[in-house]
Amino acid sequence: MASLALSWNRLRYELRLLGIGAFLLPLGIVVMYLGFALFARAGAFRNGGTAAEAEAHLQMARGLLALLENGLPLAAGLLAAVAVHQDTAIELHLSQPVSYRGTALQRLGLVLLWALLVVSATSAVVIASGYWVFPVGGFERQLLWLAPLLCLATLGAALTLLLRSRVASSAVLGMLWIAQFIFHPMFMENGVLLRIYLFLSEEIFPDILQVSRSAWYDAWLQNRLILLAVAFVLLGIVIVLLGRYEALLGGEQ
Amino acid sequence: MEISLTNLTKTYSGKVQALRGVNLRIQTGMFGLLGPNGAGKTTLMRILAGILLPTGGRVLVGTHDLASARDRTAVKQMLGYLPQELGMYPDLSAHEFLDYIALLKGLSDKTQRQRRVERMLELVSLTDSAHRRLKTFSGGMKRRVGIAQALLNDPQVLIVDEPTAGLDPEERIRFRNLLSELGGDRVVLLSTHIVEDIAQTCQRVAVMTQGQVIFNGTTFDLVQAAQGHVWQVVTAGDKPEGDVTIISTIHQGNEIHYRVLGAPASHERATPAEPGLEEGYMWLMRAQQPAHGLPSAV
Repeated sequence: MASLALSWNRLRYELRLLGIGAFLLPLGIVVMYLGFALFARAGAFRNGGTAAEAEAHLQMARGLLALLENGLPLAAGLLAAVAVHQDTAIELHLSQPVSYRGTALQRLGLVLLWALLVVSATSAVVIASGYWVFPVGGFERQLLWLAPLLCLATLGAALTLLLRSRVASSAVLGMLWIAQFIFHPMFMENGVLLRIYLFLSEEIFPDILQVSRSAWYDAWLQNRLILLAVAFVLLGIVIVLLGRYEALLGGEQ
Repeated sequence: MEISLTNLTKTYSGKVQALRGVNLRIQTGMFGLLGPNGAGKTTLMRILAGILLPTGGRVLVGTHDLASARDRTAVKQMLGYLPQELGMYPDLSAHEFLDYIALLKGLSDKTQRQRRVERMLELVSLTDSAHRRLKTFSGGMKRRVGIAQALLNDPQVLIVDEPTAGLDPEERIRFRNLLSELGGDRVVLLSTHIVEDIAQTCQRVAVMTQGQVIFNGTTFDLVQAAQGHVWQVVTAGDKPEGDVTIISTIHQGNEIHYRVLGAPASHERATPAEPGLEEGYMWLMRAQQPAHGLPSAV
């Protein structure tokens, strides 16, 4: 079990090898989305009238919901893409008694842990500040961001290992992320695609505030659970791909 | 300690056959592996290092069979490996890099690990640069860090792939002497296409080409393979005629002194010369070309 024993010294080195940029990315995303949300809030106020305050509150809530459901999960996906395949000394590592798969999974775990910490803290702040308006509570609140986050993170890692390039995988991940926005009507109209639509919460908000819970809740919950299942399948693929040393080395030299 | 390879084959997913039935026995001491680029040396090294799995055949390192995952891990614990393309972590210092590799090798005791890292830095004369970032190191300094990391666990088997590439002559000599010292009580497998490195360090050598071992014996035997086929030819300017490969050309006044391998058309201005290891190797390689047969000495 030596490969699983992440001593403090190993942890210190793994954090350094990931680089400070990896840890700043989610924070940068928070700042960017917060800026957009504040801008939208200010815009709503500018309209004036009695409903302005309520509208501004809703705009802010929507911006923060987008941060939790699509901003931070994208950051997690990009970090995961880097974490599993940025080892410049990979051949040397593969010749060590400690398995490379173990090390890569530890690195993936570290960036996921950081992303989860940032998103949990953000979610706590959103709740405490009264901007959590999406009508779910308890564990379901975590499902709102956990499902797309794990899905995009495992997808980013799997793409990197399949394409053997973190640049290519980041580009593909970004395109898939954008495609979810561009083709959102298609996702919403197709029964199968609806179940794997990453940004369903943002899509149905704030309309769901006007209808009964039974009209959307089951489909939403099913979507979140299916996304979690997809994430676990992708994790399995990542674990298998990390054991293919020949492919990790770039195949025939 | 003995490494035994029996009918070893390796075919990559692109159907490229890198190794075709390699049989070798490597015992304690320095063992050289020579061959042109693409001969399969690096694939062989990677299989021995437990990085790649062979397609067929058997590899035994001591009593460990590399077909078993547990045995591969056991071999990795007693292995030092310096790959041809040594990637490093440019933002770490030499000391930190070695410390990290030592952790990967399972040296968990901090005091013991630090002592070992410092000893290795001293061995490769990098104590003064220990805390400089690797990205500031020259190619030669990086190779020295490479050999230091390979020796961290005091390996019983040391595999070095093109270790002297990019080193200046002084560094190369120092490196070769270090390898020779290490070969006293362990298996040191030196893969290179620099014949001089083998000539100066190894008693036994194998020559590979196109995934096959075409020679396995002592360096003396390899030199003998070219006996009677090396000539010194002096001309006024024209190149020597006949079925020859020119090994060297030296201009001396109005004459040109050629050292050639093969059969000169005329022996009038040709005198037989004593072959060296490079000529033995060249003679062997020449025999592999379609126009030539296998030399009788092999």
